[in-house]
Amino acid sequence: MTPSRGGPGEDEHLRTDPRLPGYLIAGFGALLAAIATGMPELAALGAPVLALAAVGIAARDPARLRGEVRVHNLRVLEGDVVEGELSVDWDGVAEVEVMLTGFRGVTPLDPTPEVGWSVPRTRGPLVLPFRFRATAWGTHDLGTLWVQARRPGSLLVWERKLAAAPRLQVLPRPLRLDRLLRPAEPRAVAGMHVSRLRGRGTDFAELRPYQPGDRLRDLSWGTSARLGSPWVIVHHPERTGTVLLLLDAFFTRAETGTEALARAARAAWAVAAVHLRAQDRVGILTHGVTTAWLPPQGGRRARWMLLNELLTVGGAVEDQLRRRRASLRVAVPSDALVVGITNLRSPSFTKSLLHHRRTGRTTVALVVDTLDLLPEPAGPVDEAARRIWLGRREADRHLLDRGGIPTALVTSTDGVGPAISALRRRTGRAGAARMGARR
Amino acid sequence: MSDWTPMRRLLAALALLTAVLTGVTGVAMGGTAGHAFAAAVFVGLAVAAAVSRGAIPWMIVAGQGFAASLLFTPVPLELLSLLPIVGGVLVSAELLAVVGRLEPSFARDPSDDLRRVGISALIGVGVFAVVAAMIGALDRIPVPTGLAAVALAVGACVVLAVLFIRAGRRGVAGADDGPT
Repeated sequence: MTPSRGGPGEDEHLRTDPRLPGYLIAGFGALLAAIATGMPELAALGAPVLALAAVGIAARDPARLRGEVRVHNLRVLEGDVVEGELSVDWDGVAEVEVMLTGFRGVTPLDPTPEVGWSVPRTRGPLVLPFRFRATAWGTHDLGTLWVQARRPGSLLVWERKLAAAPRLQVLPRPLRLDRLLRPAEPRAVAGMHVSRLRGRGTDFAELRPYQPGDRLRDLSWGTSARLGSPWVIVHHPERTGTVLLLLDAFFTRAETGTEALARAARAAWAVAAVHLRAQDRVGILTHGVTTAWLPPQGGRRARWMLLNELLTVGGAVEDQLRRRRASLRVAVPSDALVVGITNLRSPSFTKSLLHHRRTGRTTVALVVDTLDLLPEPAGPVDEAARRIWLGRREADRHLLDRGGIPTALVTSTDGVGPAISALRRRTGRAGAARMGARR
Repeated sequence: MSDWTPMRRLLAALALLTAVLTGVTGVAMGGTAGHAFAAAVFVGLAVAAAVSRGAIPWMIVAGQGFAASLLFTPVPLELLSLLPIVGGVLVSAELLAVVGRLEPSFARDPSDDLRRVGISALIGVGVFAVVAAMIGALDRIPVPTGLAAVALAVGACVVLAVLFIRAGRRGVAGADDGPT
């Protein structure tokens, strides 16, 4: 449980109820008119409102508001429930209104639709539980705690902005993925990808006659018995690859944009996680509302750094903050497999993918399908707009295909697995075609 | 207004009904086009105050002006006969303040506020009745009327000035950057 505190401070200030200026203007106006005209009846009209104003400002002791926000778990998965409580205290008897405002990436469950409470006159302290549902991945501010206290019958309201709530990390919900893309040129470090070279490994490469120096365990006893001379099995060595995730973050903060980016992030995280498990080096480069660059690296530390970059991107999109890093030096390894993850709405992202392909890198694109996020067409114009949108997306996919970048659609129902399988088939065919052309 | 709670709608309707009844009563008492205009301004500002709390001060000022206009009628009225008008203006203002406080979309029990509407109306009407009676008594003793008005006004100003000075020492400051 992580609290964020706000003790008694000097930033507590007074607001006036809208009746107070009305009573004062009307009352003093009537008194002045009475003096000017010499009509005591006007003073009689001003007296009641002045009396109410006097009663309203009589109770004005400072409330000395203090409080804290406690969140039980600051690292959750998308869709999880975030529970916490607000603890507020003040001096004396008061009517209190408590509000948590400006939260991002979460939807209030209880209370709803606003995270606010109006408490009839009572004494502090007060503990108010709340529940959110984490809706958008990223690192998000859980808002600011505002408290207003009014003495019973007073026309003055003590108000204080207490300490900001803690930051919440919403991790993308993992997608089930057990298929790997083939990195362009596996590196000479043990991993899970089959190299074209031959060496020690588990995948069969060929049979050849025994040569002095071969390990006895590599002898193929069946072949040797059939052919009457010793033959050995040669394997492909298993090597690691370099994968660069190129994430399209050209999304709006609209609900559809947030969900679209969340889908892209889930796909990115699924691809990254499975390649990191396979000992690959994985990096990420984000284009869009924010620019993030994490050079390819492997291991557990890379996993956490990658996740942190994804959370930063998610938070930036939700907050609409442009967090471009001025002196970002991006050095994409020449042997990297570039995996673009995009919804193909940004021409500049498409250009970026084509640039990577033209510089000789193997490049593929996972196209995140967001068709189901569009509102239902309300008429023929909407239908036409939807058709145009789909047509443009297909045209962009065709453009990428012609540029040597195979694409596959990641749908909300099938997930990223079938798309990876499709890309594996297509990159396999393309590789075979290139090998044939070389011969 | 579609997101208003039933209680808020009910209280707004009650406030506007009070304002309209006050206006109609005043027009009946005044009986001139000027009074009708003043009543219309008051009711219009009451409607505005139901929608936005910012209009409440102007509604109160308009109500007071409307009540003051009834002192200038073709047939002079007794001061105490303005009691329903004064009470109506205060009740409308207090009810509209409650409507405004029900603005946030989180649950709020207005029973305390409604009790306070009643107390405020009683205080306002009571003070008006007392002051009106005092003025009536002053009329019957040989004191110039203007002097009585000045005495009343200065007395009230002194009391209020003392209250404000005390409030100022505690640091009264308006602010408009928070949630309302």
